Amino acid sequence: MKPIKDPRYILSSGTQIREEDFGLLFYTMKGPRLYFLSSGQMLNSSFFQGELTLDQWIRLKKEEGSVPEERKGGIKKSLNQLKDKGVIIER
Amino acid sequence: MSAEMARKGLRAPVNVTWEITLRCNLRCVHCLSNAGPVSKEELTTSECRDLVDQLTVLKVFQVNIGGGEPFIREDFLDLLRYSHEKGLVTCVSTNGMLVDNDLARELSSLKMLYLQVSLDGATAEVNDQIRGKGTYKKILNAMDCLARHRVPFSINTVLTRTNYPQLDTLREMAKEYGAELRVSRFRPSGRGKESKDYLGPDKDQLEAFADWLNEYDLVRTGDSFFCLTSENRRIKGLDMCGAAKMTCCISPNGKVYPCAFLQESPFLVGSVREKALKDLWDNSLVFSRYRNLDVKSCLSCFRFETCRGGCPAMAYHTYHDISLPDPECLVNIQRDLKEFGGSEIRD
Repeated sequence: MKPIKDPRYILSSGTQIREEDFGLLFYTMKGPRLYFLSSGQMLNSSFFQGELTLDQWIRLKKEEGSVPEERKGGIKKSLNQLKDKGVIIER
Repeated sequence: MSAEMARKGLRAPVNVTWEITLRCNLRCVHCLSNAGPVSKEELTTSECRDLVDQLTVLKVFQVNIGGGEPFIREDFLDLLRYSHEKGLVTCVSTNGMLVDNDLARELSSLKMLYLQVSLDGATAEVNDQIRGKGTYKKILNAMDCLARHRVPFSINTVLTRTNYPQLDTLREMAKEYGAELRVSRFRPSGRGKESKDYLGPDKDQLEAFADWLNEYDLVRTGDSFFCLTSENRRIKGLDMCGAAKMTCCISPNGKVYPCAFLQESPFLVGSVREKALKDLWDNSLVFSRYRNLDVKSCLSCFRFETCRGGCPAMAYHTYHDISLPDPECLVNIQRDLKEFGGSEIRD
């Protein structure tokens, strides 16, 4: 399947999410398994409502104050891994 | 990495073990909870629903429900449905005695349910010695009903000295039912204290079992063979004891403990009848001590990152000290077997 250029993300069916001090914790019924996303305060669960791309989200958060841009690459990679594992879906 | 994050502490448990009743229609000789008659002052239906509400607010993902036999409670199906409505995934351990076609049909409509059926031997001779006369046949009947109604389930087997030689057959049986085999650890708590000497696996078996687990990737070990499993296998799942860090246990009368195998007074955190679970999770000294537990004598061991000292409950029930290493540590077992020429060694 052709990769989506600037994706938005939503949770897969059977996935739940929780905010933690280190970032986000995902639980999927497939397994069941847990996945830890070390995103700090950069993302929260509303990001996975699929309304904004990562770039748009970061821009918004920067306007609000405190998002370090340099973490974007790492977060992008982690989101890809979560997508490959079927925890989240691109759209 | 994930273990490190969990060790720093989570805002709430990821899953909770809930012994919803102590009442049981069997008297298994290894029962960790010493289940049988109803316990005093078990949580009422309304208190159970309140607890489910608390778990939902805390965003606990999964509740592992056992006992006792959960299906003995007349309100149990309603509580299950209520939990699912609230978004909680449930994993129910049953002895299968009450599972018939009617119940299986009911369960087939529940989509947020994992079911574990306990079976402790691949033959009636071995299983019934542990779970009681006639139970093997009834468990198979329960599994037939579940399979007929397409209810996904796993077979849960507590590893014992007598069923160890039957593990391959149990694995085959599970496959035939389209189920997973999950092997749990024998722990000397509850009635397991009395049966450990004749039922606990011996050191040769434990060493061979570690190899067996490596060979059969798909066999699950839901609870903590940390002391035995290899690095390769560990990366597939939780790589440390999750008690007080990711999970805790709630007893039939609402008392909270770090885990189901440590339901003893030194580990009593409090009661959900008196305090909110969140308050207990954040402020309990028992949890705090448990989270900061270091098994110092293991720090220099080459396997430390793999097992972190193993299961504290095993250490407690063996030495009355949770800061000591797991008594079934693979390194110690292998050293003992080498030293004593591979013959069976009993403590």
